[in-house]
Amino acid sequence: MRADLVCGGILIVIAGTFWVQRDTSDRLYAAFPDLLLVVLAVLGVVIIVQGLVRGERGAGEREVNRRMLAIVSVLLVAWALGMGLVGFTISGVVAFVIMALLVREGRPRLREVATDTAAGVVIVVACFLIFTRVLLVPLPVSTLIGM
Amino acid sequence: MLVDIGNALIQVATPTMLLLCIAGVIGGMAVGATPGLSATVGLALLLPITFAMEPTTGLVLMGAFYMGAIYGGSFTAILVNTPGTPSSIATTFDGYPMTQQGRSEAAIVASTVGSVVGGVIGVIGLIVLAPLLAQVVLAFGPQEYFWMGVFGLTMIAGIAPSLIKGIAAGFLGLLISTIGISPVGGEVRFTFGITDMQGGVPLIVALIGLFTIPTIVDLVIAPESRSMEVEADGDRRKRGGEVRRTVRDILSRPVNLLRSSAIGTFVGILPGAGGSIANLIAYNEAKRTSKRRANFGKGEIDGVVAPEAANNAVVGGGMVPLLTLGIPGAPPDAVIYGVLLLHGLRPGPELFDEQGVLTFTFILAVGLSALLMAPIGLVAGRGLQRAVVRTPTYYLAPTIALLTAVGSYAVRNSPLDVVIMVLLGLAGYGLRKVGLPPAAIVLGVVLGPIIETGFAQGLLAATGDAHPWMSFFTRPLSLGIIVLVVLGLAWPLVTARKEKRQAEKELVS
Amino acid sequence: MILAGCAQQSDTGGAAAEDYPNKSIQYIIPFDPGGESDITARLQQGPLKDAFGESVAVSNRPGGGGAVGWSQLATEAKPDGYTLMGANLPHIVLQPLARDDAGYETEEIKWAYIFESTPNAFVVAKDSPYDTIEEFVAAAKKEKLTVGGSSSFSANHMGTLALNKEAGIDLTYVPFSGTSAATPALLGGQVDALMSYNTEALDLLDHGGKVLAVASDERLAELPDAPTFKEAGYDVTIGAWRGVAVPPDTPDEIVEKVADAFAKVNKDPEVRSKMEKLGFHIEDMGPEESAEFTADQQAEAKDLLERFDLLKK
Repeated sequence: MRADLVCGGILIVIAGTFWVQRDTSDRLYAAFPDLLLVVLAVLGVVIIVQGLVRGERGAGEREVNRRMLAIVSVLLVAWALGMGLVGFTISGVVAFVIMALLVREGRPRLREVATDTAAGVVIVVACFLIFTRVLLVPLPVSTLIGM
Repeated sequence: MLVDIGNALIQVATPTMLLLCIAGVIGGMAVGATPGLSATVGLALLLPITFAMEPTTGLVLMGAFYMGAIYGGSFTAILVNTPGTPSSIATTFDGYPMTQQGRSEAAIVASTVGSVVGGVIGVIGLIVLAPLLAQVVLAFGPQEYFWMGVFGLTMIAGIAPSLIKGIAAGFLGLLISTIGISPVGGEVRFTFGITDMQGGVPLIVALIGLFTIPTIVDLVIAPESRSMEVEADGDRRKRGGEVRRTVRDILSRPVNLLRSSAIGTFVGILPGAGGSIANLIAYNEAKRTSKRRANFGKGEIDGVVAPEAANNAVVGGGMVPLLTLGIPGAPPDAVIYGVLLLHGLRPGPELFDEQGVLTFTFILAVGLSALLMAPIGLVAGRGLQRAVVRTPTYYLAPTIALLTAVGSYAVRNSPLDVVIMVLLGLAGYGLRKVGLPPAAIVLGVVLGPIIETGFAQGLLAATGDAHPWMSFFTRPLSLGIIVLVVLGLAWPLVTARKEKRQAEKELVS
Repeated sequence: MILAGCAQQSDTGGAAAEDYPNKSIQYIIPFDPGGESDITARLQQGPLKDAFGESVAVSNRPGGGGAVGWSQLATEAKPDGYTLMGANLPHIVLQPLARDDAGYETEEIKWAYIFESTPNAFVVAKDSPYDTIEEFVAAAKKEKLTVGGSSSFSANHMGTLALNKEAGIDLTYVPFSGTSAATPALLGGQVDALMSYNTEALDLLDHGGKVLAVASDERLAELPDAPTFKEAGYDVTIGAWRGVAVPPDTPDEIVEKVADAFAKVNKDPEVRSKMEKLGFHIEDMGPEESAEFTADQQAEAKDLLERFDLLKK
């Protein structure tokens, strides 16, 4: 039931946010997105009602490690933002090492940090060179180290 | 024409051509397997190289590259749940579950068989049916594209556990596709004050985010979930003979291969559709008609064969309107069109008459490339598969993350796209938890532009009629597709009832 | 914009105008790979390298019909001559006029050179009952006729509007996603005519299409039998122009050097013959001429959009 309420709520919120942003200048071109927003809002309500009517059904979702989930989410967002800010290689190596240590679990040992850093540098730099030199993709670079 | 084909055969059989095809296929596979780099981008990179070449060699290289790129997209789809190109979306549905069960080698082999057969059938369709099929293109108007998009949406019934949430997810996808400039009318929509959002959310960025970010998160949160992938793969490898077994198994159901290839060829002919839609439709049809329907989505090998056969058949199909009418059937065809023009070759009937040898050499070389994918793919694809399976999770997860970051950046060389990709992916992870399947969202993103464009263009083109919207229901071809839509909607209900009755019967007895 | 920060897409370093260029130049196309703008750039890439004496890297920054790239050029790119961007008319005129926030103003697009153009051409299918533009206009006065073309707020769109204005008719414009995407609609009878480019008109001739008029001052060499709109008494001269632009604050000496390089490339016989094979008309407009031309186009477009109530509110 909780999942249904959350799901319906999300749909209504999304429809509402987009509704505020919508442009009403032309009927023909606004018809399609407007229709989508209305349908989404209606579906949201239906899902909520359905959830309330049906009540709790013990479909026990596998519990996830919330703390870990939060850490990974923050790491990924920081990585994405960091790529534009400090360049591809620096953000890449740092995030690579952090993620590798996260997967290894437990308190990181110095040797692991060293090997992971080495692996991160090799993989990230190789990736950087292939994309910028062979595929000519102008990846963002750091002004400090020039790559 | 037959003389030309004969001469073309002689040309193709030379070592130079063979080497060109091999080089093209390998290069294409590498680019295709890289998320974010589509076949079109790869072909554009090749363009300057072909300027210096003879028309024939340049075209052959590009054709081989195109074929290889579409095939290569399946590798990452199967191994790490990341479609390398939008043509391999449906390949993830069963390919990745197979990987998780330690059957990734079989999945790679299945993709290879499907791609080779699909590629060859598409080329045969091109040679045999080109003039005939070209007429189909002209019969398809905006109204038909609209209904075809709606037909694609009926797939939701098949991929979502809860129909209503599936529909909601599909509509969310449609909504994402409306961000940016409207395809008809040039209105700017839903930019939330960010200038760069004028460009909207590219399909590949949405795709990488919605499919790959949840995979990465799962790998980091629960690395132990990969144990089966590694162990079972090791066991199977010890047993050996996986390739032969898998090939025999797939060939024992030729209907799936043929149907999927036919779908791919047909969708390829329609400009504006292409591989991203063909693979989804083929997957859905395979599932609908299969006896092992219940196993789809849980690692069914036919669910890998179908989309891969269809997307490589699109290569040949897409060249039908390109070579006969000068209309690129799919985005990569636009680049090949440019090469034709650069060499003074105008598509149309005379391309087949006056330049017959060149044209058929090109076509046959594309077919040859499809065949070459078998040996090359079995070596390279299985090599990659072995490497991925053997990579410890603590390196695999960040490496995938790195590739998704660089891939989503490379789509438009935009740092904003990387952020959009991650945010969409995390949102998709959360939405999956409340029952909104990411696959249905992606379906909406793929189909949104077709549905909206068809809708608005149809209304505009029929302004002369008393009721423009009536044109959506009066054109014979539209009616035909509407029937398909109704069937598509009714089918799951019918089969569900049948299965229920079956189950009841078994219970009674 | 926020993300630009201290990271740059290309190497940094404020080089003086005298030793420009002394490192690799980024030539960005704000459209998808494989399109006409992209193919032209890749065609120029080799000869440009010879002209500059430095390597030139072509990359794509598509989105919003070019607007995403141009807003980046206008607001973010370093004005040091190492970032060049393809620019198109009438796009850079129409987007700021029609959109609330195109992200740039027409005046911020600083031209270095305009190197090619494609005039509009008006085409009907083989079995169409109209053989001349006059017949078509006469019919349009009696019934609703539709005209397909490539995208909204494009040269095709403006051409249709201009014809509506000049002939006093009300054609419905149906935008398609690209030049060749509109072709099946004409051949399949979904639209009554196409306002297309000379390039596509050539293709359509092969399929029996009839070119009723071209939107240039004089008849086109590749379509000698097609009259101009002017001959029929309609003042419609509209087409698309392609060139290269630099960030707004780029020093004039550097702009001149860029213009010289592109002028040189335009004289390369190999490039010329390939451009002509693609159906492009070669143009040679330097920075000032391009800017004046753009201002003229802007005035014309403003008038046209105002008349049809398409200016942004």
